[in-house]
Amino acid sequence: MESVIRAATVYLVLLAIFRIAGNRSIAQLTAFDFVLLLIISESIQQALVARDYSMTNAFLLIVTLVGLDIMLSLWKQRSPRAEKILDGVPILIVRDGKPLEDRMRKERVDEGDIMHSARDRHGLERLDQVKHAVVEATGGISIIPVRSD
Amino acid sequence: MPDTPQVDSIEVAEDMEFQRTSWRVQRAGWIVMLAAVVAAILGLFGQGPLAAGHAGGATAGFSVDFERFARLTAPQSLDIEIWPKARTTDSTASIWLDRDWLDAHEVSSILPEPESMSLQPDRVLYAFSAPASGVPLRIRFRLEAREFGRIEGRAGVPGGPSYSFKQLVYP
Repeated sequence: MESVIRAATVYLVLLAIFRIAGNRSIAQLTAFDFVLLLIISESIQQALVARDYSMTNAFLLIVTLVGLDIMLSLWKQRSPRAEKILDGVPILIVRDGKPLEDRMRKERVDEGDIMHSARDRHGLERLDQVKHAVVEATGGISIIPVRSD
Repeated sequence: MPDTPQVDSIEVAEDMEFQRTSWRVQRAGWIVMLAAVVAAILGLFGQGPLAAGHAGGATAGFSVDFERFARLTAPQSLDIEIWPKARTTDSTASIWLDRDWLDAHEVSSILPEPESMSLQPDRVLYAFSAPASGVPLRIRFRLEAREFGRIEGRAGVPGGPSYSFKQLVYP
């Protein structure tokens, strides 16, 4: 029973912390963010396993974590509100070529981030080639380029 | 999807009201995290000025230093000082600890090692050989909590004063 409580607590606390940190924190992984994720998993591992290194404990932890993930995904499928709370909502940050500064500031996104995605996915060269940009619920930036026809 | 508003020509399931709320919750969450770090530095989660507990002193002949806030299975210490006036004999100093409190912990070491240990109905009595000089005898218990929650302990010298101490052990 303790393993299940332990895994569920860790899952929910991590979910809350990463939602508070904001999706942008993990969407664009820099090399250092990657290292940080490794350290986070290392720090939580001890609390999760405690002193029980048995296979039974490991399986119970994994089943609990994956099970919770499935349960939440089923809940999200049924309730749009739950989906918003657990995943967040997409938000438009460039509308018709015009950057929405206030939203960008609150989402901690700057023109450099928009141009990064614009170059990366569409090979765009200038901000005026971006028609719309959206920070998705997953944290990535989607770019809709201006049509050149 | 009927609840997807049209924002200009692009179809995005925006919800600005929800977005603003979630920004507010995020900001509040950052403050909570900052407060947790500050509280941890001060010792609210153990090992810091707020966590240091003390009872007794030279006038009582006996003192206890304990940790108010401890964590499950994390190393902690209990320091006891016995002044010459609270000794049982000229060469022995004894202390007792509450049995229930000891049951909630695992003692990994006692320095100096006790000469003898004896069980009483609700206490464990430790006897140490004491130095001949007039300095107090310092005893350090190194231990780990095995239960979490509020734990109350009691320590004393036989026939002398005793002090109770409360600990909050985090899971």
